[in-house]
Amino acid sequence: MALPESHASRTRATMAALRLSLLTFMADPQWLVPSMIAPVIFGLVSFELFRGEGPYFLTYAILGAGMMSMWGQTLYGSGWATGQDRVFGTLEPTIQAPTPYLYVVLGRIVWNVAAGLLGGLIVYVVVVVAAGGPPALPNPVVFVVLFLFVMVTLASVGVVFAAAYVYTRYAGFIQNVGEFAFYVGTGCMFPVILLPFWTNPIALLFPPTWALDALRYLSIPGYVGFGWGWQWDLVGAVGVTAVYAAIAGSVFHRVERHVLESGNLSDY
Amino acid sequence: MSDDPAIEVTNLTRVFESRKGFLFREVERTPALKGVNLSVGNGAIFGLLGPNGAGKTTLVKILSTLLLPTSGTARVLGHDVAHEAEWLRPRIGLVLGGERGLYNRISGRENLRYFADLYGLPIAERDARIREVLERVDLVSAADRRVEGYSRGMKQKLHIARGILHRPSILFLDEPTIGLDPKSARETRKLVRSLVSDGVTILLTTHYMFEAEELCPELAILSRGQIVAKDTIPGLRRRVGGDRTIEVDAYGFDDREMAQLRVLPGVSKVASEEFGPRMRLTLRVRTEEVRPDQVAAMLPNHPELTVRERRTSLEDVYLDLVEEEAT
Amino acid sequence: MATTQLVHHPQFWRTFWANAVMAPRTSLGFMRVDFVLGTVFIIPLTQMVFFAFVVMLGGGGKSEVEFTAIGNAVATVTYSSVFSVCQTTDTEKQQGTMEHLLVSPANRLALYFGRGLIPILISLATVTMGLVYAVVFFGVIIPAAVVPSLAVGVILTAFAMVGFGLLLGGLALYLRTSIILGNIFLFVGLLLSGVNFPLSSLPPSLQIAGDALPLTWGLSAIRAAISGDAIGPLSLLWAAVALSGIISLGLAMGLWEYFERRALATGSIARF
Repeated sequence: MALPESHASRTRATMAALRLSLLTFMADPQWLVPSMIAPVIFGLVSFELFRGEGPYFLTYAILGAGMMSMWGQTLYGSGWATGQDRVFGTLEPTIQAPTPYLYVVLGRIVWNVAAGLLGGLIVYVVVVVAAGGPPALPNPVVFVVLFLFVMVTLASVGVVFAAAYVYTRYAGFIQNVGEFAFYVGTGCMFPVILLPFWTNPIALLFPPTWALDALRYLSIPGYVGFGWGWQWDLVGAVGVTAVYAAIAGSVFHRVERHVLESGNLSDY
Repeated sequence: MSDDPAIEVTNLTRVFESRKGFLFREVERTPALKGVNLSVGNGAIFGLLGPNGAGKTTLVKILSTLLLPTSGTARVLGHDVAHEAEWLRPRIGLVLGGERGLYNRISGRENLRYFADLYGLPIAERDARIREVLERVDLVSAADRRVEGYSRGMKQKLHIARGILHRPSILFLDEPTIGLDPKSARETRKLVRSLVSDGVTILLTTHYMFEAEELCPELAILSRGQIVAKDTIPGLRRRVGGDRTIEVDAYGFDDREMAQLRVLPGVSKVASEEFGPRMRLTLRVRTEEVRPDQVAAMLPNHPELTVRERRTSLEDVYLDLVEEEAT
Repeated sequence: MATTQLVHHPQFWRTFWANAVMAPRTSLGFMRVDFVLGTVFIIPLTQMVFFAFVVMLGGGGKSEVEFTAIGNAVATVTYSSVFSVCQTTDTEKQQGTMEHLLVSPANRLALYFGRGLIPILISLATVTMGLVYAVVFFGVIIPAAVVPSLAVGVILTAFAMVGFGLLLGGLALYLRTSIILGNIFLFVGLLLSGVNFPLSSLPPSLQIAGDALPLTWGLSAIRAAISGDAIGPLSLLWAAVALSGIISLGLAMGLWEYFERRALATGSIARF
């Protein structure tokens, strides 16, 4: 009579969460406004700031602003949705469902990656319009593929970040406080090697750092990143992303266990 | 159906910790459950009563795997709630009710569809099942409206619909008729009975005594984190001194008269209460030997006397036991 | 009762103070020590470091870095002013307490504007800390002689930004949430208020848009004070900041009243 959990239902849960994200967005599309405005602003600010950088400043501007726009959406969008679950009181029934909450978060991540990509596209258009022409990319196809890979690495971090929103109702505030620190430390807008040396190992703990370094290597001639070349950057990105993917399940399990012990699931 | 209990709780405790103070150094511990022991058989409705703050919702959340106990064990359908949640969750339905707990910006149907997917309801039967539960809770006409436009009662119905959507083996209902109009409440009680005939075990918490009397052949009373009584309703009546109650009203009684009534054979308890200028004595009577006319004859100095007999209600039982526990 | 009479009425100040103290506590425990410390000490530093490095990568020299450092030191006031006021309103709706506030006879001026008091204080602390970082880490020189005029600029900027936050918070009565507006103006400020580059480098139309923001004037006044401008031009800038704050507050008063009526008419009070 009762339905035992099956592996098939995990995929369904992810798709259901993706669908819910879409429905909720359509019911309340006002969030479209900052999602569209932010990339435009970042694009114009980075265009202005990088204007003196030489022939590849457009690429720097697009990458920098695009990353800022997408990172916010991808890294924090899913966590914010979990925070909303707390506010609406839907976190309890969702945790109580048979499917692990991690798969619900995955569905939201997919939505936020798509929204982030849209933001990246807007940045591209804004900067190109401001500059009067597209950037010179040595290999546009590779650029796009790597760009997408950067999103995957962001998503892997976003999943783990989302666990913080399950853990505590104050995650949103912690996110606000740590947002720029994360952008600085992981080379979102500028190479990590510009920072003091002791920050570099910390930056390398995050997959986007590696992926973005590879992307810059391949799109900006003469770029000097960590110095080991884009191939090792890719190996590092894949490896660290795999680690995040591997620990995501364990992190969520521990966090869920913690909130069941502390009893703060209904707090907001 | 298994002979094993559907719910078995042994020495269950739950302590909540909160931090206070300027730097949140001081830890405040609040025991919500203090060594609860409980056993509930399969395929029945079991009632859980108790005052506000007694620990009912805490117990329900532990049994439905939403909260871990501090110590002790709780087993549902033979499985430990703390360590076998993955096995249990597809088989448990939970209805917490209230204004929250639903996605307000989408329709009732979309809410159910989402949870149907989380519970892995077979796709082929999902939409039909959603229609079925919406019909059962009489929400078909509002199914495609946004939940934010629902009345409190409609939200409650949607909570119930979600709780039964995946055909659970055991259903936890936390005050399921709160906020419902009398007709809807009656239909909900009818639904609850029909679920039992489908083989579902139900643990029901309620503040409505008539509802507990109507639905629950057996119940427990929880007070201050402890079970103070567990029995059938006739058993509970006997426990508080009899299933008959004689009420005697007059403009005051003296101590001698009250003492006389207390020692009357068959009278287990005499309680007094004032209503403005009048006083009421409530006699809990164990046997058929004590009759209203007999009591009236013992109080000749009260021409204004009224005496009436009634069955000891569940509310009487509840108040007696909770007050007894409090003292 | 006329506004001037209201202000002299003891109940007005009682309501004002009750809201001043309650609002930060209801907004996700805003009065937690760790939150205040994070807002005051961490956000300014990380944002300043971020943009300073962006400027350096963009070929900027010492003066450009200092420009950005001062700009971001002041711009982080947006978190404690605009965001916190908006969030207070949103939280009231989420918790279902907004309806109970509105059904009370409490004076609306005191009710809404009392919640701006603590954010003003935290805004002051945030900007001050940001300027300290600018001096310590980014090479900005603030002579002792300019500190009084700088203080005036900082106080007026905090006041104006909270006023702006109250203006946006009023919209929250009618909209589902005003945090969206907070987000928008956080980004917009980075572009249009002369935070990271001079306003003059923007097209004229965007400069006009920037002039409509209190942060633009506040930042101009603070930069002018640090540069040691004379009292004459400084006074004009102070007047501009004060005026932008007063206009924001004036609009906020009207908007709160208007949107309260709209919210009651449409039933959006309970929607979030």
